[in-house]
Amino acid sequence: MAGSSDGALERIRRTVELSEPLALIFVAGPPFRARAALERIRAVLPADRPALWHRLDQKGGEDLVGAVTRSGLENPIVLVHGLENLNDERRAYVEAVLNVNRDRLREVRAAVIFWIPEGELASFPVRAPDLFHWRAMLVTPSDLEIVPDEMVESTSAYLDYLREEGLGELLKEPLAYLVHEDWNEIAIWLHENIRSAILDVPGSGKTTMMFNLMWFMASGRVGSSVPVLVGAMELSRVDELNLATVTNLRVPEQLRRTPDFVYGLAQKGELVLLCDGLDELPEPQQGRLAMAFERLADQWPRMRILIAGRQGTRVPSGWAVRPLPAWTVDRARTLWGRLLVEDDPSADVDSILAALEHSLTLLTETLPAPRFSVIGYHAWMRTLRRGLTGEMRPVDFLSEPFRYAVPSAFARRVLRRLALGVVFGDAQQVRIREVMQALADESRGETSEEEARRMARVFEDGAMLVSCSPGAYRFWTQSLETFLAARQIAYLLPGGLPLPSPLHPGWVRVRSLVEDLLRDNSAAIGRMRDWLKGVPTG
Amino acid sequence: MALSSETWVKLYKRFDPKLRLAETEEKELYVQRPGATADRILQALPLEEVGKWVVCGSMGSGKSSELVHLANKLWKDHTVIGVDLAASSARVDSLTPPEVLFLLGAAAVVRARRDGHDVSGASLSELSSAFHDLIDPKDRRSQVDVESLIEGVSLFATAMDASAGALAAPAGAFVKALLGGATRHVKEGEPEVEKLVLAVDAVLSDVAARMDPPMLLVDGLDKVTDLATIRALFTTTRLLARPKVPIVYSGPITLMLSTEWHAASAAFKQERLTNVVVARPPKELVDRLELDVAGDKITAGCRAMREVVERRLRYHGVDVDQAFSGDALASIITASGGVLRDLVHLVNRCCALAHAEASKQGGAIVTGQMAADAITEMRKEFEVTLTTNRVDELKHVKQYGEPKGLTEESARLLLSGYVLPYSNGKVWFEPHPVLRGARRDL
Repeated sequence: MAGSSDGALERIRRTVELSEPLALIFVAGPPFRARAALERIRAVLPADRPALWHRLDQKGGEDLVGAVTRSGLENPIVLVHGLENLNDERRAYVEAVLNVNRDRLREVRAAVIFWIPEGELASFPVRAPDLFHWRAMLVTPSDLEIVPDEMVESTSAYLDYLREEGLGELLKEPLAYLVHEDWNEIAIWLHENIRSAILDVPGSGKTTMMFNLMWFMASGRVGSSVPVLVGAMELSRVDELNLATVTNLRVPEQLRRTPDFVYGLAQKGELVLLCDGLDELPEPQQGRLAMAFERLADQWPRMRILIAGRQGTRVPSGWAVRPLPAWTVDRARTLWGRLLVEDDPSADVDSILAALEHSLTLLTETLPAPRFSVIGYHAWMRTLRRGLTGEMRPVDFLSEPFRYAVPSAFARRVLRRLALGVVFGDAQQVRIREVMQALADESRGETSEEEARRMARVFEDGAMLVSCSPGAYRFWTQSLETFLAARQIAYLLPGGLPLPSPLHPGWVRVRSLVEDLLRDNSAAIGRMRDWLKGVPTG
Repeated sequence: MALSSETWVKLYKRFDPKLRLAETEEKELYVQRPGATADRILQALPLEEVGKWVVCGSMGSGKSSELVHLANKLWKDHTVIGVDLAASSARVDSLTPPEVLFLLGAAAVVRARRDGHDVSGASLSELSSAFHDLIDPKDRRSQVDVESLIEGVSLFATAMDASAGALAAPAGAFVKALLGGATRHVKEGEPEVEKLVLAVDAVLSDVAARMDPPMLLVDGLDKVTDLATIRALFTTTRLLARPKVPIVYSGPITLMLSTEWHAASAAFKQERLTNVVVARPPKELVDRLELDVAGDKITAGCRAMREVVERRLRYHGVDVDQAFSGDALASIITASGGVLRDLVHLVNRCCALAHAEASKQGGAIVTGQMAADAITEMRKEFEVTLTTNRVDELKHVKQYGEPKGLTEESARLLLSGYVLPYSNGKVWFEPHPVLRGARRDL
């Protein structure tokens, strides 16, 4: 640190000058500005000192001292970045290695400038405490001098960008659900309550509402807000909730390369974070996520956040809470009922809806070819595309009608049967004996005790049911979603391979591969194809 | 008279938080803190011929300096084996108890060789074979030559090394790449483990037969942050307490928490290197915990911290009054929370500010405003890393004088210096004082 009234660049320059033989300087900022900002810093440091760029995200990148030593450079300026490109597990590993090898830095004579992605700023000092404690200075993200000026673009430019990149389909309103008059009610409420939650009964249409809100806002017809829709389950898996992790989850890669666009939107209050399904998390995780939202709200005071969950879901204190508007339920029922008829003209929509207790969640899960648009936004789809075509493509599949591989008739019957009232009681639990009876009815056969036990085991192994208490289970929606994802992948694979039923032991293997895909492991596509080729369905 | 920019450069380097006291400077710069840990161990040593101590304290509280100080007091009567585990292993945070044991034996071999002695071939062969037996044969590391592991052991420098003209050798890259989670999971009492314990003792006996009685000072385990690893080293197994020589380990601060403290006390005598009390605890805490922190204790604490600064200034012929005006130094001492390295950090930043001023004006002194700027800068660094969970934990510590429990967040805040321990008969914890002002509720 030098003169506190000086700019950050001048302070860095002075600190490097003073801290020979070893200067450790940490600079925090938006993750995608790492290179540009480090170049700017390099430019103010002595030109006669050689520069060494070091990437922590490359193989062996954690061996910083080794890299400096091997370079043979005398008294270099070492510009270190790459943490922003690592997943949390790998980042934790790299930070731990840097930390325990801190003392080895005594072996080198250098000025080391570390770029810390600002979303990692809370974690870095506790994951690498010894290294951090040696800092000569930390430049915080508020020192905007470090960040090049062109970072904030306009929302209209973003929308143009989407269209130019062929992502215009994202902006199409998929279903006539939300109209301007309806929007007004929500918009006024969102305007008045920058932090808000919609809490309503299960199956009342919260997810449909959130998707439609997203599309409505993304179409650019209502103000300049840009929505980002994420699932609470996904957010619960990230170590530290911040804008960077949200961005990594959801925003297409092309946009992530766009200079700090998302950050600019958040600063200007033009970003709306929509989080669905908070109630799908266990209570402790709900609490943690609620606190993480509070923190996110503190970090980005102008960003709007809307979360959805069932009544009683824990939301951050002080946030505005309301149920769904009354009109949404009828509108959504009509909409999904129409889709049901499209799929099966003989379907008796009224009786099916009655059997489902008018639960829209169940209705969407019962549809054999559901418009599961949510899947289109999963990260695995990008991986899938990359794996199949060898290149990254925008999510252009949204422009086509969804077509799914039809699961085996048995699996389809079971899924439908599960959804049709057997599984979902008030507590969303099911007694396995009733499931077995439903299956017996469906197949018009007898179900022996042994068969029941076998089936129960298969269901549990297939992760379709989660044991709640002895003999009682909760149907796991996420697993169904995995099944639907697997089905689509199987369809898209060369040859349109069929998928084993969730009751077939082979499903467990498929599920594991799909979950690999969800973790962005593209190699799983090949393994899944090979596996499916040899597995009988049924 | 204001100090020149050249003098401020020298002072900036003298207060570099990265630098350890060099062995040659230890005598001039070491300041004995009130209730010195090293002295207590020295006094107990004649009664505890094979005693085992763990010195726990905040990051930057001076644990390593305390070990160096101990070494310098002991070397005339003991063969001091000061081993730096962080520099001797690839992942000190993954070291298993058998690996630590092996490194102790290996360090004794290195110490003996440096002093012109050697351990017997039989002892060395036993050590090698016992360690090999604990590595999974399928692990590529099972092929490693133990002799090369021994060569890579890093001893930390002491006055004895300085007098002998020897320097601590840095660990070889090959060796560093291997140690840390190399041994298979073992339980105490397994024959292979007992074999290693005997082998280490045999090496130490060899050293004792040829040289002064050995004393092991082991630095580096305070860098372990994973709770499971800490427990494996200090509470759930007693392997580290088995060698039949006195050993002092630097240990992680989480061992200070009462549950861990009691669990570890079965095998180790624990020395809390608590931070120097430089301010009266909040009244609420004094009342709740019935703390008796007399004014003279605070005065003594501030005096010790001031002496740290004075000695380093004097090393360059500078008096405190020449470097700091008015209450500038006092405010820095209070803001340091009694953590030595944080004091050094704050003075270092003041030196940078004074250097900038001196470069423009031809001379400068640290003013109250500069001290305030340095404190604000450090506060901002803490502030930007605060999260809701951390604030909750810190509020709890502020209110109750102790962490909520050994949760991951509690441990992280202790390990990274957000929460500081103090003692005065009783042990209590407070949020780092620099956080006051970051948020009203802290």
